[in-house]
Amino acid sequence: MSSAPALVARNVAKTVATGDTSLTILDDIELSLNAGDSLSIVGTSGSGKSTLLALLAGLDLPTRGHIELLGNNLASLDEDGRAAWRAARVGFVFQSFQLLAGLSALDNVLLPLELAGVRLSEARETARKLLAQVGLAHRTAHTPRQLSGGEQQRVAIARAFACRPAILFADEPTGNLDGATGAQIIDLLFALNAEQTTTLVLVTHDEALAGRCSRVARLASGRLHA
Amino acid sequence: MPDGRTSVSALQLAWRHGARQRGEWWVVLLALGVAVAAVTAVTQMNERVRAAMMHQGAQTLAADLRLDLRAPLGEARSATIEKTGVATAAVATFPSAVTRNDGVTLVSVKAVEPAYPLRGAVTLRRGPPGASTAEITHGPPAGTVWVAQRVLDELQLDIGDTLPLGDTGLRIGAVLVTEPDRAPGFVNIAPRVMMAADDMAATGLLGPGSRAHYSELIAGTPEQIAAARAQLEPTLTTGESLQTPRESNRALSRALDRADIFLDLAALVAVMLAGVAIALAARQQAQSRLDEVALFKTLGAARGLIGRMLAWQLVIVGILGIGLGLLTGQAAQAGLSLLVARAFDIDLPTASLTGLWPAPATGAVLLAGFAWPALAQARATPPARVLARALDTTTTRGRFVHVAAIASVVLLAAAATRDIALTAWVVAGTIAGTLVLAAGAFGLLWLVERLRRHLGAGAGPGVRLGLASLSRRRSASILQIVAFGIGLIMLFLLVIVRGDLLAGWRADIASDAPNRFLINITPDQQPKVADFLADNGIDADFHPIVRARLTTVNGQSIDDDPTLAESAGELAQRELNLSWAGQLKADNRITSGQWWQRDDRGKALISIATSVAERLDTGIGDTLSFDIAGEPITARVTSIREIDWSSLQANFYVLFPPGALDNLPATHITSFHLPPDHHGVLASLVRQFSNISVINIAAILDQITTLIERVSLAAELVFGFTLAAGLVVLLAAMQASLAERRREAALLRALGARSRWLRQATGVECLLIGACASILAAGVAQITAIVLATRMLDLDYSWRPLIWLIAVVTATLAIAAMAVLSLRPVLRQPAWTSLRESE
Repeated sequence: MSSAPALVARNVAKTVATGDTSLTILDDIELSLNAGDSLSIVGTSGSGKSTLLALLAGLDLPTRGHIELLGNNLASLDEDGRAAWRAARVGFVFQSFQLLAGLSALDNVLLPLELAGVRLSEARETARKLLAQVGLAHRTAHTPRQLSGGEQQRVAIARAFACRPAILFADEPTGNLDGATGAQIIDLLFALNAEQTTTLVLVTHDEALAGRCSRVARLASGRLHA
Repeated sequence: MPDGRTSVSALQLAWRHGARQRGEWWVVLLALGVAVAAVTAVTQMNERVRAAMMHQGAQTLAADLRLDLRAPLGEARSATIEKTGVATAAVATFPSAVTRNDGVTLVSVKAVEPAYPLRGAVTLRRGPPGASTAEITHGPPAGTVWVAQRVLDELQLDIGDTLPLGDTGLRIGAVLVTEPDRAPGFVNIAPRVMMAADDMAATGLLGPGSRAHYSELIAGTPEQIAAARAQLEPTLTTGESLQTPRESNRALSRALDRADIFLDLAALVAVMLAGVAIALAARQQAQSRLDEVALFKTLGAARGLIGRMLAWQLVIVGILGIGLGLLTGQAAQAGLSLLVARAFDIDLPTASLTGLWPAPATGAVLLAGFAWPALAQARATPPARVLARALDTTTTRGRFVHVAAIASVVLLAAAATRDIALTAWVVAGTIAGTLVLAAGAFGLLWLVERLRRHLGAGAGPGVRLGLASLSRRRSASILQIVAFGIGLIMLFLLVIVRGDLLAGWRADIASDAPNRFLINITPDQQPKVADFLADNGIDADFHPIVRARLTTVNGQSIDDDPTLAESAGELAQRELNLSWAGQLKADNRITSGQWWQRDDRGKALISIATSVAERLDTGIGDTLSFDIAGEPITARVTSIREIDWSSLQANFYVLFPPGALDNLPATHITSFHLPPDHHGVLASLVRQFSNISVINIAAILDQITTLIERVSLAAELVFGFTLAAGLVVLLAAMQASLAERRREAALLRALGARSRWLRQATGVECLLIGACASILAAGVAQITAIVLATRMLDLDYSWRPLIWLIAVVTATLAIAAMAVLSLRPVLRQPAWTSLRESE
């Protein structure tokens, strides 16, 4: 595994305005993660885990501090620049799956491939293979409405790995699933992660899940404790 | 209830829950408000403009109602109608001869009460020709007459001189230039002498055999007129009749009929747009309620309670939307009315509050027909939906929704237009247009799918994304194309077709329409007069006239049959102008039977006008007998003709084939357009042919042209408001897909799509949707325009490809631009914020 940092965060803070006052969600976050490693960020509900993940992934900007993702200073890019940079490099798995309701499972997995400019026929082939890998070969034409929660998350995982990203961010991937289904999803996630040697950042409140990563950081009162 | 709790009412639930969800109802509220406002403005404007047009039209009668009599109105009936509060003025018209020095001039004397004219004004000139004129709204004072210039010319008199009239002499007070109710009929060919009714007795001219025509002019509010009419109609005897401005002036009647069609069209279009907007908003609203309904049921709410809650929410939204619409519509029509009144210097009567009922009724029917069916179906949502949406097969679409929507549109359209034929044509056209749009949408998606397969990486990610979105969102894409298309059909009809039809309507009263008639041309003078006119650049057709009296119908004498005499009316009361013709004129159309064949020459056959056929209840094969200067002639009806009186050309109720009336005394008549700079031509003609009478109908033409111009402006203003409603429909169609479009953009942004790609994708998708919708809409609108013009409005219609091209391009770009602009909130903020907002 490479020793070059895939992710670096220095003195990162996030404050939001709430009416007449301001709320500090994160404060003085320091973090470093090498390529190929896996990190879990653990905290109770409302501790700011999802907010931290959004900052690390470049989906939002910190109020203060410096974040480098795969050697790139995210603050130096505008929103478009961050989006362009994310394409084909970063994968996401969300707690609420974030599938497009009007699209089939296959079309949902196709999305990042199309954004990356892959030929349609090739993209479809890749998508079908991934769906087969996650056990949904026979459900490619079904829409999210026709899939269970676990099946939707499988589709989301297939989408996340479609472009073989360098780093993958997972926000409470089993938060909406039962124990058994969640375990299956996590096994799937880690299997694909190992296969593609992707750097993994996982946000969870589940200690057992957190223990499957090579490193665990705890978020409490807006501060990270490694 | 256990624990002493009381049950919550559906209204309480609706109010509390509705207040929390008020942000979701705004689309329905806006659509309803615009619909009600449009209908309010249109119906109120219709009412006020129609009333103003009738008021203008009343000037041609110098009253709102005219009672034609055979003798002066008796005191009993006079008192009866005065109780209704109307104003009255008695008029007596009779021919007389004025003798001065050795000359005799035939004049038409009109004796009027001081209140004449009740509508419009007479135009007087108190100086020599060329002096300024004045408009007067009362009759000549006692002891004074107002005379036509011809009277002064022929009798060599001047203003201030005494005109001998019967047993007395009256001072000439002014030259009578125009009078509002002088029709170009052949009864009034003699120059006019207008006198005060009080002076009639002194003249001694009225007595047995004086051939006087009496009428009572009546004016008042519509309610007063209706009451007077109701009092008078049962008292009418043989030879008496009531006339409104429309009934007495055929050309005006036709102009008003066309105006009604234009304004009814605006009302109908507003209703149709309302239906589309409400349907779009209601569908979206109903779909968003499914989870809520499932949750309520899970918490113990019965289906009936949920139904009542949804109904109450709809009622609350309806009250707010209708109230908003009424206020907006009233304000808009007040502003429009002010514009119309100022532009044409007329007073528009106040619209009645009772006239407002169509607008809230429209809103109620729209909610009941479009919103409720979809919401009602949401009541059937199973509670299991909260656990797994896959278990829920509830649909907010379905046959019931479509049938209810169509039935509501038909009902509203019929009520708005009060014209079944117009409603049927437009509704059928819209349904056909919708099907065409849907078929076009399917065709587009098929093409896009083919295109996607052949596109390589060179097409760019934005283009590929756009095509992919269009292809994947099949149902949404089809719905958008249909919704945009319907809105664009309406807009194209209003903006382009309306303009074309109005231009055609104006052109129908062509600038070269006949404005002069020449009568009393003897047969030997006819070729000389024709040469004279031709030498002066005037093209004129001549028609022979034989004066006759209608005596029998199918052998039954009119004099012996009071019923027949009553239905014959003025056909039997005065002499008719018979004529003959070899060719059927362009403004005549055979509706029954056939025109002359070659061997019909000289035969006793007649072609009669449809109005004669209806009045005498005669048809093909029936016979009419005439007395022509003491010689009887009986002829058989072989064809019935519809005459377009708006052509203002010489036309005849009864026509014979050539040769049938050859040996009978006849004169000729002609009509032509006299250019403004040719006035001296007629003076020269009259000097050369002193027996020929000239009738100037330019004033009538001016009235009709002015009326058309005013109606056009009113129609344009009304259509402008309906146009705004059409734009709201387009916005509603855009809004229907906005949430999904933004959510997709947020996710794509998170996955790495750049702003430029998202704009390109949305632009490509909406360009294709817009182009498909607008091209199809242009085609449907064009076909509808042709049908309306040729079948309903009897106008010529020509294609204008360039204007359609501009319309299509403009609509397409506008739709694409609106869609791209709607993404701005997503593109301006971080991807994470958009993702959280979309959850």
